[in-house]
Amino acid sequence: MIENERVLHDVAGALMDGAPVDWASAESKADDESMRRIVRELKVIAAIADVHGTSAVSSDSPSVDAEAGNLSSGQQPRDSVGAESPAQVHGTWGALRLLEKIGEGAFGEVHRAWDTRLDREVALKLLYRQDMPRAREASAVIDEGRMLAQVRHPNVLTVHGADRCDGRVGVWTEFIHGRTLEQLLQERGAFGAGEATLIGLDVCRALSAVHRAGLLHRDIKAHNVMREHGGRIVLMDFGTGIHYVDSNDSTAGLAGTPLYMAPEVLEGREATVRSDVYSVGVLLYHLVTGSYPISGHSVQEIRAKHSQGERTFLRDARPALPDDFVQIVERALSPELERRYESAGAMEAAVASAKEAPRSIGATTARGAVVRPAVDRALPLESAERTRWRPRILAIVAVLVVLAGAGSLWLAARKSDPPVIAVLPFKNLSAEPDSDYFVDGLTDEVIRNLSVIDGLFVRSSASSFAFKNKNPSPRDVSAQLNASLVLSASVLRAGTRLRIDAQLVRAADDLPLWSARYDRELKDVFAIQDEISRSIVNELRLKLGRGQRRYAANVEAYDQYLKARVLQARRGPATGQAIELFEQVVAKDPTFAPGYAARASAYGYYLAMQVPSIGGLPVSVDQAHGIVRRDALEAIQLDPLLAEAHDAVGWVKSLDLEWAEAEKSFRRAIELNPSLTTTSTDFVLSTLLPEGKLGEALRVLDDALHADPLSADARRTMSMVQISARQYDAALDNCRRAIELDRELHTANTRCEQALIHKGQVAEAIAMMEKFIADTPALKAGGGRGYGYLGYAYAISGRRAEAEAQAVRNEGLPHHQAMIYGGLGDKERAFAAIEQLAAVNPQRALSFLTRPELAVLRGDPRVTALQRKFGVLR
Amino acid sequence: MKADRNDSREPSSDRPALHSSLTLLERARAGDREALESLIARYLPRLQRWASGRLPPWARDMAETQDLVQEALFQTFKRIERFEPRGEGALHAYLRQAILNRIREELRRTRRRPARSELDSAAEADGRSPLEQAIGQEAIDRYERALAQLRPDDRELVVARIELGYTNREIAELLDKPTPNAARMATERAVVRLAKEMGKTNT
Repeated sequence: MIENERVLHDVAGALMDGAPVDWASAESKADDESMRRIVRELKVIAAIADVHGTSAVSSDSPSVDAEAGNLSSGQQPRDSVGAESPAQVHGTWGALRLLEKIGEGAFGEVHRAWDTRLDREVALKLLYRQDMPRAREASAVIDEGRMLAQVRHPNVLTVHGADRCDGRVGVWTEFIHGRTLEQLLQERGAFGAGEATLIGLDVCRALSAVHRAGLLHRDIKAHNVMREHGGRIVLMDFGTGIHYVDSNDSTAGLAGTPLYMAPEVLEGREATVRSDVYSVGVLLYHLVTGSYPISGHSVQEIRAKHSQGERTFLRDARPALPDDFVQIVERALSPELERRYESAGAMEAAVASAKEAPRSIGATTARGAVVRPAVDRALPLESAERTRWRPRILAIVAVLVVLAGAGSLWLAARKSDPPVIAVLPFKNLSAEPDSDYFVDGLTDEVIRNLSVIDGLFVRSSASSFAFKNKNPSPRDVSAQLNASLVLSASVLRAGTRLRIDAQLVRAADDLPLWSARYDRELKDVFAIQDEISRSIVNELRLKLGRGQRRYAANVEAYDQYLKARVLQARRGPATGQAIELFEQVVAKDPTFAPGYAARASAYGYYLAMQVPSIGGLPVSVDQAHGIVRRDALEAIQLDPLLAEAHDAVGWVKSLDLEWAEAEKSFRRAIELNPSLTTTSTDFVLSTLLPEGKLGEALRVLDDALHADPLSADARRTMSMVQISARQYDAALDNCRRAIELDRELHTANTRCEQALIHKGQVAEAIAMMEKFIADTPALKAGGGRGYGYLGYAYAISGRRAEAEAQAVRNEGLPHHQAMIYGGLGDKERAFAAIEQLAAVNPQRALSFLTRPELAVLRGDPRVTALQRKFGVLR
Repeated sequence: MKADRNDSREPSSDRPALHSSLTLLERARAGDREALESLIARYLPRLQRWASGRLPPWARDMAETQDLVQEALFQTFKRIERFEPRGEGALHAYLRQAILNRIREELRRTRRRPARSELDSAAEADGRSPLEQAIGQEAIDRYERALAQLRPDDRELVVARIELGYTNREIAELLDKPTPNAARMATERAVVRLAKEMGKTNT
């Protein structure tokens, strides 16, 4: 997908520059028909520019624009590749041109290479042909490469691919210009504790990412950690146990280096997260001492020393080290697994607090708010606010102490005036001058995205750019633009990587309120601009705790959205129509978060309340589950402060039967927008009712009706809960009012009939239902199929044969059958029907158990077991 | 910065100065004839060049282009009280649409005029505008429909760059983009969105 976008932007970029476009090749790069069609449309646009004589506008002045286009168009970057003319290429492997052999071992060689498809420099590890005799091993290497390619972290070597080509297996990765920690150690001697701490932090983060991907590293050592020119720490080479183990070596069967190996692994036990943690301990020990806690000349010797507890404690190896550093290393090196850090993240937190401790409180202020997007992104459905703060509780406390005085001023100011933000032109720290193009565009995007947020005022980009290259102080900016907050950022591009540091400062006193760092692989500039400007804006909103997003959406799309929301609130079959419209909305405007959120919630409702049912939707239940998940994620990423997005996440959680999580999401949604009554009804239908929390459900709906007394959906839902709570008079009143509000409201009449039955007016209810069925062609044809209440009413008024007949008619609709059997007092068949329902829709089964029609099952141990199984009883 | 060096080479004579067009527009609305004429003088050359791609040869040969565009501009500026321009770029897109409408109207009127019996296929081709000859009426329709679907700022970028041939620097000024680079990037995005929209209407 990203590749496709790149092709499109490359072509559009060429169009901008009046550069020639190889249409055939562009079309061939697009990977499906719809993409090819878009490429062809670009060709039409190019022709239009031609006819208007505008395509030549900048072709006579290509210097800047064409050069700037390099950033996205895939020409070889001159700076790095000028020297590698094809003449110097010493071979090819697949689409890779081998440029230089940089390493060689018993099993293969490492090359610096050029990926001709993606036009980038890569490192290629190529295994020798003869060392891969068995296909199984070859494919294991490829599989491993594929798995590693999933680990995305700035401190982990990015694996681009793995393949078998010309009979040789290779894995190619990003190319790091820098030195290994071992090289640095050899050249400069032992590291200081401060520097080792910083490295430890990055290595722990990298390792967390590896573990989170379900992998173990198994070979952490100073040879395998590089420091890139510019300071980035990169964890490389994974010990796969396949291609780096010499079978003649006494370490046969072991992946990794014995000096770094945890004792249990040396004993032949499985490697674990904690054995990787042990290796990090050895690494840190080694960095500050140049030696190892346990050394030896053979595996046997090392193993023996481990079992005899013969290790040199760090304190003895180098006495003058900070206590907390020593404690962290010793804990990681603990021979007993249980005493080590339980995860790389736990170790990271310890290292981080060791790092923060000696600093002044002032220095922690800005750091406390540092965001690590890579972590946030890996936990997409967690609330971003929460995960962001997780590792740095101590630092946060410090921030709170410092802000205690100023903070109240900030809060006071918040209530009265909306903050005015000035965005300074982002600073370009890169050597490549054409990066200006990217940096200016990014600033503009951030301003553009900020300016659609209600409750924030943003100074126009023209006034911000008056400060370009001027390095003003926040106070100057504030004075001249009358802004209370100043957002500044710097952008550093190094090769294919991009680092952006952003911070928000309160102008009055230069107090940093927020800062973040973004580390990205520069693949598609547009995607990165979108992502980063979105992250900055969203995180600012979270930080400021305000800012409702306004959508300058496509008018037609918005109109459809509103229409669909009305249908959605009608519930029942109207949900299908709503979904159809939401599909069109997101197709018209793929950035419109409420569209995704609403589609997720509509499908969520369908899954929880309509399955199994007659007249379904165009997709299967499985597909619908996928859509709810995808859309909820998309919505929350686009707009983490959108109430509807939290509502959508609530549906995901309730479908997963994670009730507590679901409650949290819905409550957050209500908090963000209390006037949105569908959130309250969604909350009740998806979660509170299945949980049997009737009192809570009544309270939530009461609040919703207080906020919006004219919501038919809330009234109808209220009457439904009141029936379960045996408040029949109130239920009858509410369902009647709901019908007055919206005659097409789904099942409101059913609620009235249900209330009447339970009030004892059974004959009246039966007459109403029989008339309704006779008047509704679909129901009439089925003889009342899909109308279980009628059967229930027959049953309790002694017309058992008719009730039985209704049960037969409702074959395949266990929720209706359950009610009829309930009316007949037939516990066995009622429970069997509920069980059948629970198998396809546990939420609905749980909701039905609260109903008076199924009172017969009350206290039945099988019901209790069912409730326990689905997590609503503990 | 390289961008400045490059763009300083762009001719600046026919580039309308920022804001002044809107000031002129204000005055023209108030009935200032001189302001109206300088507005027309300012926009005529570029829009005429643009219109030449949209008119069939006979219309161009008959030197009607100039009259037609001039007249359309004149009419538009006189009736422009209905339009509240957000900026220069919006004004351009508006004028371009006004002239396009005027051309369509004119073509509808004149197409009925020539004697049908004399039209052979060559003459038929002759009756088509350069744009129609290049991409066909269907593609033009698709383009126009998609253009109308774009958000106003995107539409203005496309019109300014693809149809009217403004440089990045000029677009930056017309459409309030911070720098020529930002303008280029925004236009590139707009063009991709346009192509996607066209791809949609195609199905």
